[in-house]
Amino acid sequence: MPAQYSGDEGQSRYERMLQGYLSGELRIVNAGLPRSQKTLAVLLREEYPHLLCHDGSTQLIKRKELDYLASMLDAGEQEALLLPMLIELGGDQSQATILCAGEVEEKVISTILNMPLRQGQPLSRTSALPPTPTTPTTPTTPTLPPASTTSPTPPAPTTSPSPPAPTTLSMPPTSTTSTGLPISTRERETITLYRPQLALLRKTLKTTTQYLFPQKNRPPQTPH
Amino acid sequence: MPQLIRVRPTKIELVKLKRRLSLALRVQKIVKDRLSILTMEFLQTARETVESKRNLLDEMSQMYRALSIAAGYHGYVALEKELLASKADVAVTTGLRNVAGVRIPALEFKEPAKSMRGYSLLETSSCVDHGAQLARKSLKAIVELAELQRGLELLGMEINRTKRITNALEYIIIPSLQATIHYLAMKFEERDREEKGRLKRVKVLLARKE
Repeated sequence: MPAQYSGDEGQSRYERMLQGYLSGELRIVNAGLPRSQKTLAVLLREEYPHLLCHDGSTQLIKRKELDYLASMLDAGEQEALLLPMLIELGGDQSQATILCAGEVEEKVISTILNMPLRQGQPLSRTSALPPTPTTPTTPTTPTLPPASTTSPTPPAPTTSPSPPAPTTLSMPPTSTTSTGLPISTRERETITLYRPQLALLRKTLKTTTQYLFPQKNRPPQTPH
Repeated sequence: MPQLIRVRPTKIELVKLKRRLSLALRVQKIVKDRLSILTMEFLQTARETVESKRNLLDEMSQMYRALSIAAGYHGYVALEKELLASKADVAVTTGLRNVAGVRIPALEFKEPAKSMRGYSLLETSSCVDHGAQLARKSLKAIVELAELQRGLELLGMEINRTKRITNALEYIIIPSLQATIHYLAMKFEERDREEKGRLKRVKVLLARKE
């Protein structure tokens, strides 16, 4: 064997170890995800509210947070709210997406953030800006069906033949709240939040929200 | 200058290296996301810890003030006798919560079902009541602060670890993989060119023979 390959065995062992380590990193980040979500009503009935995670551990849910959530929802909504709410981190580091099955999550988040979530806007960062006041938004923006439907229907396309270029859109004063935070957008089954909003949400709901790291990179969201 | 990885210059090794590079890039992205989340949580926890500590100090000072007033009113001996009777276990629900792969303890102070104080209400004044109430609040704040401080430590350690991984990936692993892939690709191109030259030479020799 030539001298230059003398360290090949050791190298491959090192490389294998490195490979295993890197794969392990991917496992670690999603180890805390729950095996299944529970509804708020079920968790409220438990003496020690908890969830089973993928790695076999249990996650404690604080009763204080459950009581807080229960205070803002009625009985029917408590049955519909699945916990923990999953926060998916997208490709853009300034944004995070909350996966939601229904509109209860929207209500909870808008109450916590103290701001409305605008519906039916495309999710990309540039297109999250509202259209200019001259654009007739009502006819072109389709009304969303109830988000609780689980049928894999494609996103509703806009009837506008050519949407305006994102760079030409201006940010009117209505696009931010009184606190200066930009308004989040709500698309079918997802809610897009900016980092400061996420920090605010996590401060309030520490044990009832959970981060989800997608293993495959999602393609960047483009305007419809 | 990134260091080349010692590998056999074969196509199989090149494919393996490319796979390794794609895995490393994917891991780098996830680790960077994780680092930013951990930093956000760390800063949030640090802010809350400062707030909680201030809150605890306020409540403790109020409690000691109330206790000293009670001691002045009832006398130390009588107060100690009453407080001995009011000893009770503290119930704290403990568990774990997972923040981007970091297991942080979650503690929750359990409020007693009945507010049994233990001491005689007839023989004590409202000063003792007030002190007891503040003591309970302080206990709650202590539990909260314990959770936050432990979380802060764990998050800090994990941020250090994740930073090391990110740096290793960014400055050592990925550049060396890229350099090796580049080196192998150049080597294969060179080999192809040599092969082409050799074939031409053979062709000339065969033509001469004929």
